[in-house]
Amino acid sequence: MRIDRGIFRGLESLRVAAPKPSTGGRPGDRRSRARGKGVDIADFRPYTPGDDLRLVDWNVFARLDAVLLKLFHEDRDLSIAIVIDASASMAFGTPRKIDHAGELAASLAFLALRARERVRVIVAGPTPLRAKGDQLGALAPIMNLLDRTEASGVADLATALAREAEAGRADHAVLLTDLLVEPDARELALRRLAAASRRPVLLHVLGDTELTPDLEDGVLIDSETGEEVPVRGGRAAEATYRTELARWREQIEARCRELGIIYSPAFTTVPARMLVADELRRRQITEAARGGGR
Amino acid sequence: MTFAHPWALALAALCAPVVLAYLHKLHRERRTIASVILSRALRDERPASRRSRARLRHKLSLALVLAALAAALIALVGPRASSGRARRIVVVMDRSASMGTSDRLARAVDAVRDVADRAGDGDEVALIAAGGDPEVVTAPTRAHGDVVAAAEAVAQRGAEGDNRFDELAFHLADGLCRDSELGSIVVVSDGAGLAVPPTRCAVRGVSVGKPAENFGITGLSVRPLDSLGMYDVHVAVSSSATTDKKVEVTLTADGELVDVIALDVPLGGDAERTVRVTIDRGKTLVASLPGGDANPLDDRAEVELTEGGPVSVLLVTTRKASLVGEALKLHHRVELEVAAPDKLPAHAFDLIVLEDAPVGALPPGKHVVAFAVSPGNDAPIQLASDAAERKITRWDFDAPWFRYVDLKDVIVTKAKLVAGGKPIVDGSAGPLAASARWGDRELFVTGFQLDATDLALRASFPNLVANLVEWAGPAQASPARGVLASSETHVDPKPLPGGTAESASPWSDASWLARLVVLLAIALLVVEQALYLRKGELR
Repeated sequence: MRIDRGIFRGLESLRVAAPKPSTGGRPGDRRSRARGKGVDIADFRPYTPGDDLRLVDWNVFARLDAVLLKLFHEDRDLSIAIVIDASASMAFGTPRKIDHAGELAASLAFLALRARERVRVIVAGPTPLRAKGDQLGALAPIMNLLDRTEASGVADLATALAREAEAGRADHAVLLTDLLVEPDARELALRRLAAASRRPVLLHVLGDTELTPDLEDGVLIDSETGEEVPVRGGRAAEATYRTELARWREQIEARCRELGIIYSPAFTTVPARMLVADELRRRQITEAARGGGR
Repeated sequence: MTFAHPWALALAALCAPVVLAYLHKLHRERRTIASVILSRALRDERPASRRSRARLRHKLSLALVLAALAAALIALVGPRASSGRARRIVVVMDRSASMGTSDRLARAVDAVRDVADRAGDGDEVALIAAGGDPEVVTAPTRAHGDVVAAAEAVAQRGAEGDNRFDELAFHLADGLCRDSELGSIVVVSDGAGLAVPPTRCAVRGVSVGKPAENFGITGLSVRPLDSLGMYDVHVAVSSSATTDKKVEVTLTADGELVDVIALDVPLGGDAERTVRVTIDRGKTLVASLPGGDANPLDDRAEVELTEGGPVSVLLVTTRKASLVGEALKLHHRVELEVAAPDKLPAHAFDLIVLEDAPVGALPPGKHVVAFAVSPGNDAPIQLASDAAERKITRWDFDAPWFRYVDLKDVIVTKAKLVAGGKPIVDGSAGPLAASARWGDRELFVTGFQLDATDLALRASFPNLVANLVEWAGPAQASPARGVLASSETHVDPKPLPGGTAESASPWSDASWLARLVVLLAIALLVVEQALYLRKGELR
């Protein structure tokens, strides 16, 4: 896929949003449910011998004559898994859906790595590929992976997401796909996405080939399955298609709501940088680097 | 096979994009898309046979478009079957005054060039200029460039004359055309005033010009009323305007204003008027319009007011001093010869005046005046008895001898009555003067001698003598110059045989075959469009 390196410009003020406490195992700057060293007071408990005297709240002792110990929220890091659908259908559109998805994935990875979050990028194609890291230096191998990726064949999204879940449930799992699969495969993929993280996100990547297709008489051939569908073009066909497209998207969105998946359209008609800065921020997938997340 | 416009063959390259577009369309018929999941709702449920019919329709559409393109191409290149025998085309180029309107002559040259271009190498083209005096400008030649150059020269000389001699031009063309099978006459004209006579060779018209507003002098004639410079001037003006107009015709004589005639000219019609003016003889009378219309050639006409030629007069008398003879001598046009009644000359005279009865036959002369004598035994008017009462009671005012002659109270001392002929002067006792035809002569006989009256003492006498001279040799105004036929002033283009509205386009010279092919091309495109629309309807 071809990724514009200029996409990172202007993203310095953003980071991946974490409205829920982190479950990460390593120290970071995201509030977690764990008690320990931190900045924000989470609770108090009676002093027991052996406790660190630095944590005793001397103001309370002076007023109440009770020795209480301050408990803090411990700041942990965030983990984010980014799964890209690299099936043949993603090679269509202008710009290509796979390129658009790659730019979105690279942007999210950049935001996470810049905040030293743990990032895993999985390319779900005929042969799944992975790259991960928790430093900004890991962006290079991730970009390398994305550069080497081309859309082809059939992607088993459900399997890729299941393996990701096995590797450890991430705080965020972002699936970038056009979801142009049969309903049962789609259902399975959405279920696995919901199970793969505590905050699953579906970035629905659709291009002009789906939104405003050129409908004329002829035989349409599926790029992944080879299935042939003879169609009749014309205005009536365009109206039918628009209805079908709306119904299909409505189904996906409704199912995402049921499964707790954040659904966000990520059409190629809107540049990736604008999506990250506006649309994803509006849906609390990204946020401003200062002030949010704690 | 030859082509009128071989360059048009290059347009065959247009077939390439049409075929490419078709192949592209064909390619689009089977196309791979991301997924058919969303397109299943559009599945064409028609049986395969109907789909194949649709594909056939695509092929038919291509065939129709290519056929239309080919037909248009054929029409453009203008193919001509070579019969092996050279054709002869005689171009009759109208250069009459109406062709002086705007750029009609230039367009006529374009039309001639077009004809020359379309002629095959072996074809002969001739050029005849019509309008005014027809002339063969270029004899039949294969050097078609010479014909075009000659047409340009004709145009440069400008428009002139009218179409009254067009018949001669077409007879010339018919003669040059020679063979009705291989020859043709092409007339390039605005059609104004053009009349095409029946010809052996087919005549095809190429019309030039557009409607225009024009006024022109289409009539100017002058009739002298007397020998004293009085004239009736008749002026006619034609209009090709689309509304009624008032125009003023200015009459000048050698630059001096004579009169201004206001005329109300109806739309597309004529108006005329006769005015009586006094102008010195020998001058040139000019009638002119203000101008500013489409054609300036018909805005001015002129006529020379000639004095008339000499009039030979024979006075037959025995008198040594004749009153009439002296008066005749003083008339500037009279060449007087006096002869005794028995010594009559043999040559002809314009006027023979008899004061004494001739002996023998009179010499040839169409006008004879006899004053109180018998012109001859066989004359239709003879003198009768003496008139007892000689008071003139009536005379014919319209008779040519009595214009501005007042016979009232004229004293006649001695007179005879006249018998025969038409009485011109009546006295109390009977006719005192009469006129009649006498063979090929005109005879005027009076029953009195002029010296037996007191006419010589009156102003009427020189008028009478001048009237006699005018009667014998009327002064005629020379024909007017610049007066065109009314049809030349009505400059709106008229239909020509087999003609077209305008010659500037290459289609103007299209043969019926080319026109047919163009129609076919249009029909094919219409059919193709209908198929396309039908297909759209079925969607």
